Order: sequence, then C-alpha cells, then structure tokens
Amino acid sequence: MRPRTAVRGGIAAALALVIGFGLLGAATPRAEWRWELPPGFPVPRVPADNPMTAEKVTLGRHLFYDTRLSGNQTFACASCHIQSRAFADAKPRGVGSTGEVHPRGSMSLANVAYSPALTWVNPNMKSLEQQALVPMFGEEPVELGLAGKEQELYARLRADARYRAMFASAFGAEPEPITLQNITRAIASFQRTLISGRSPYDRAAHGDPSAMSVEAKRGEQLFFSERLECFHCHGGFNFTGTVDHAGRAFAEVEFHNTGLYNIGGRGGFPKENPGLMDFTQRPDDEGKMKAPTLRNVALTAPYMHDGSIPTLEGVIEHYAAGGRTISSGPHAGDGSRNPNKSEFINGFELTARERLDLVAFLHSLTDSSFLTDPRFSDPWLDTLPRRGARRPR
Amino acid sequence: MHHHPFARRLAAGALALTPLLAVFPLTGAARREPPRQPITITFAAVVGEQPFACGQRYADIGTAKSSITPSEFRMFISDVRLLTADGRAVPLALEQDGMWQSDGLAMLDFEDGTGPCSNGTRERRTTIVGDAPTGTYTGITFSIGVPFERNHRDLATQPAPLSVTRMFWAWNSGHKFVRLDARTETGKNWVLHLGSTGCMPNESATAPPAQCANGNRVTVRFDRFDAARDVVLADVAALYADSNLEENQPRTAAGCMSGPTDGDCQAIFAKLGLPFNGTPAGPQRFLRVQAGGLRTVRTP
Repeated sequence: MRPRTAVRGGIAAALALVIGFGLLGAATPRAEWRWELPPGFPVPRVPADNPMTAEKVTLGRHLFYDTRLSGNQTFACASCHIQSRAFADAKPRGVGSTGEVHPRGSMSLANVAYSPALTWVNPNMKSLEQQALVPMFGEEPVELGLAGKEQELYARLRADARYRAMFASAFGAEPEPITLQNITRAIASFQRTLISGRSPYDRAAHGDPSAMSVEAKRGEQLFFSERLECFHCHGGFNFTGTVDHAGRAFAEVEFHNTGLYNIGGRGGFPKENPGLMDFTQRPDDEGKMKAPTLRNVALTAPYMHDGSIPTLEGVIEHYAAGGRTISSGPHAGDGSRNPNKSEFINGFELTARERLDLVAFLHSLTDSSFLTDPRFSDPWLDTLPRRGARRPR
Repeated sequence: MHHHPFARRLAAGALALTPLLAVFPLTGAARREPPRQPITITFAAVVGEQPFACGQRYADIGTAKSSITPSEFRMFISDVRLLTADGRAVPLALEQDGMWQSDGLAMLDFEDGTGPCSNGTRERRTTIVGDAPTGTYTGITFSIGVPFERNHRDLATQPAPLSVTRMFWAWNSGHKFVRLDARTETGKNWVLHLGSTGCMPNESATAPPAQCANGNRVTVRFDRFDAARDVVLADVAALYADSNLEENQPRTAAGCMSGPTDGDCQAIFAKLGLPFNGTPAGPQRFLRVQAGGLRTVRTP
C-alpha cells in the first residue's frame, strides 16, 4: 500500500505545484504600464478599477477596429474615428451603421484620456468605459446598433479563437471574460493610449524653434492674445478648458455658447442641439457646448458641433464677427447678440495676413506621427478574413 | 489513527459551529414570521379593446385616427405595495428570478421578438410575482420606473433585468422606464421612451448624477384591485388618445423621448399623469384595471 500512497502523494504534490504556480502567475502584478508621453504631457487619470495593461490595450485596439461590434457587422468604432483624421471623420455629422445621421459630428479621440467630460455636451458622461455604451447601444440615433444584440455580440467574439486568447490574457482571472464590462474596459484602455503631442508646435516649445514657421509663430501670438481671447476656452496643453489628469486636485469641465445661433433673438439653437440645457434644463444653458481640443484641428473639418462651418477660415470669421449671423431660413438670427454667449466672444479685427498667420498656427498643431503611428492602426489589416473597419474614401 | 490535518480542521470547525446551531432555532422560534401568501399581479397590453401583438395593425389611434403597427413594448415596475381596507400599504416582496425581477424591480415585456419586434426577445413577461403577509388586499399601488438610486449605476455591470440593453438610456446614464415603439401606416415612426431628464452632474468625478429635475416616474394607484381576479391593462390607444401621430414636432425625437422641450410629449405625459413643462400632474390614464380581466382579454 505504501508505494501507492507515495505515488498519490507525489501526484498531489505535483498538482499542488502546478496550481501553486498558476496562482502565483495570476497574482504576480503585471509590468507597470509605460505611457511614453510627449514632453510636457501629464500622466492621464485612469479609473482605479481599470488600470492600464498592454493586454487590455491590444484587445481594445482589436475591438475598436472590428465591424463585429455593430448590429449589421458593417461598422466599427473606427468607422467614425479614423486615424488619418486624428480619430474624427470628415463628415459634418456622424453617420451610423444603419445610415442614421447623428445631430453632432464625430469628435477627435486625440488625448481623450485627459477629458473628464466626454462627447460634445454631456456633463454626466465621465468615463470612456461608460461612454462606449452610447455608440454601442444608443438608438437615438443608432450608431453601432447593438441594442438587444448583446448576446449575439458575445457569441461572435467567443467564436473567434483570437478573441478567446486576448480576453483570457487581458482578464485571465475571470472564468468567462467576454463580458460587456470587459469589452468597454478594453476599448477605453486603447482609447487612453491615443495621445497626440508631437506637433511642430510641441517641437518648437521643447527645443526646436525651427519646427514652426514664422507665420505660425505670429499666429501663436495672436491665439494667445487678449485681443482674440482664443486661449480662454482652448487653453492648456490640450487646447481645451475641459481637462483632468493625475495629480490635479480637481477636474475642470466647461461649456460655452459661442454665438453660433440666435434663433428668434432669444438665444435659440436648432432643436436637435440644445446644448447643456438638455441636461440642466436652464434656458441660459441653451447652446453651450464643450470646447474641443484644437490639436490636429486642421484635419477635422467641417467644424463646430454640427459641422456647420466648412473651413478654419470660416471658423475665424465666425469668432471675428463675435458670433454668426444667419440672415434667412429657420435658423435666422444674429448669433453675436445671443444672450447666453460667452463673455470672451466679442469679435475682433484681423488683417488678411493675420488671418493667414492664425490658420498657420492652427496647422502647426497637426501631429503627423499620431496619424501614422502603427500602435494605433487597424490590427486586422494583415489578417484573413478581414474584419477591420472600412477605409474612408 | 491519525487524522489528516485538513480533516482535523474540519472537525474543529464543526465544534466551533455547535453553539451557534444551538442558538439559532431558539431565535427562530422567538420571532416567527407571520405566514405569507404568494401573489401574482397580472398585466396585459392592449390597444383599445384589442390585445397587443407585434406586427399587428391597429386603426384609429390618436387625434389623426392613425393606423399603427407596434415593434416594441416593455416597461419597468417598482415599489409594488398592496393596499388593505384599513389603508395600509404592504410591500409585495418580489421573487428573485435572476431574469425579470431583482430586489424591488420588475420588467414587463409585452413583445415576443416576432415580425417588426425582431430586436426584442422571444420571452415575454406579463406578471409580477411575489409574496406578502397572508391577508385581504383590496387595492394596489406601484411605480412605473427604475428607482433613482438604481437608475444611474454602471450600465455594464447591472443584474437582470437592468442588463437589457434595449432599455439602456446610456446617453442619460440611466434606463428607459417605458419603451413603446410603433410606426404609422403613413411610414412615420412614433415612439415613447420614458425616462428621467434634466440629470445634473455630481461633484465627484465618478459618481452618477446627483439629481434629475424630472424623475418622470409614474405613480399608479388602484383602490379596487383583486390580484386573484383582476388584470392591469396597459392601453396604447388610451396613451395616445390626444396625440397626433402624423405630425411630429419638427427637429425633435419621433414621438416622445421625454425631452422637456419636445411638444409631442405634452399630450402623452398628460395621459401618464406626469407634469410637463409647467403643466401640473393629473390622473394617469395609461393603465387601468379590468375586473376579471383574464376572461375578456386574451394575451395573444
């Protein structure tokens, strides 16, 4: 009997060793995430329950570019957030997987990790994990069109061995890691890596003055002048007043009415875009929107929340007039007299050369390395069958 | 004989438990719960006098006498209490089935995933099941909606029935309380998505909204209701009786998505008994009791 017991004991010990190592493996903290931030950029604030890991970022990148994440399998996050457009698109307003048009345009995801309030105007939308549910399951309008199809989505992902492996390595401790929460956590982790801060403006600010043209430098002076006041709403390292990062005492969230409309002379905005008033229901919040980052702004035309200004020159004209006047039609009104307009939008005069200088400065915020960084590109391009998002034409 | 160390620990644990086992029966006897009875509240969706069914065409709806075809109908019910003849309101303890009911919340699902309801589910649910102290109950009160403290939690981790994505109201960090989608014969979409609006951000960076200006939860009360016999009818025709389904206010949601500036909500909120944009609350006309309803209204 004894030898047999010994054998059993040996197997038990070996099993214990294996299990022990397994547990050790799971308990070993993963290598600390390295941000590789541009000079002068602070460390993003990351939710405590979704720390950054390379495994989550890899998984999130695959999900971001995967058309299986739409109800009809034609659309991915990347369909409206295109790398060559700084993860915005070229449409005035977003168009979803079923062709439905969103009231507002796709926003650039550049530096979205630093935004404590997401989308054009939602003071309650505070995390990328939470925000991902809107394009996935929202139906007013339909974007990815997954409402009611979550089980179908999980089944599609489970059927792909690559996903089984990626989910297991990102969320290995869980018995069934393909969950909605893990999908949103992975996508959010990938989005937090989309950091853009190596533009000519940045290179000039950090030791290479020749990176910016003379025109752009003159435009920079204008941008940061009390005469134009651009920087009040588009200030700081990310050129927006809505900002948060690790080490700050508090997040800042700002919404401004820029005098884009003044329907009926009472501050009216087109009904589909009431702005902050949608949430606060205060009439003086009508038309207030978040100032987006201006990084890569030369690539994200057309402009404003509804894509109603086609060019940067047009945007400058709008601000120079202290608000846009629409002379006829349902939106007629003198935006410069909008009663809820920001106190910083009072109009200014620019010479023709100054206008060109200001545009040159805005172009100096284009980070071309961001647009081609292979870490952010479609990971499905090299695989068959191809699952990636359709390329923009 | 040598005990295996693990076996020894087990034995020690059993010994440690013994005093507790001795005490529990006593306390159990000391506060014996009053006997309880199972109670099922039965609902039925109707369009006027006809039972609700996905894909069926219903004529004469609203002020423009529209013909409509529904494609979705679900709603959340909470805070169910049974009324006694002497005016007490006794909570109905809901069965926890891991699917339709959790804590004090239940989802009713009148669609069956067929025809234009294809984004729905085959499973339907037209009852609320629970128990209450044995007694005579003469009425019922409940709320249409998800309680505030449960409405704004992380959508990605909610237990059923709050995990149903078709009822997510993600942009407003909450849930739709009622979802009733339809299309008119003239090709116009007409939906009701009832939910809280005017939700103000909390100071904390991660907390859900601190409060919503318009909770939009409907309190329903029927002073005469016998759960064993009566049915609560949810009547689409009554809900839309004063609405013109052919004329959506331009540049607003098709029908009413609870927007406080969407004029199409005015007549619908009136039928729900909810205040709207300065108009005070009135009696609700959406739900009514049909005495002995099961005999006359067949569920399709």
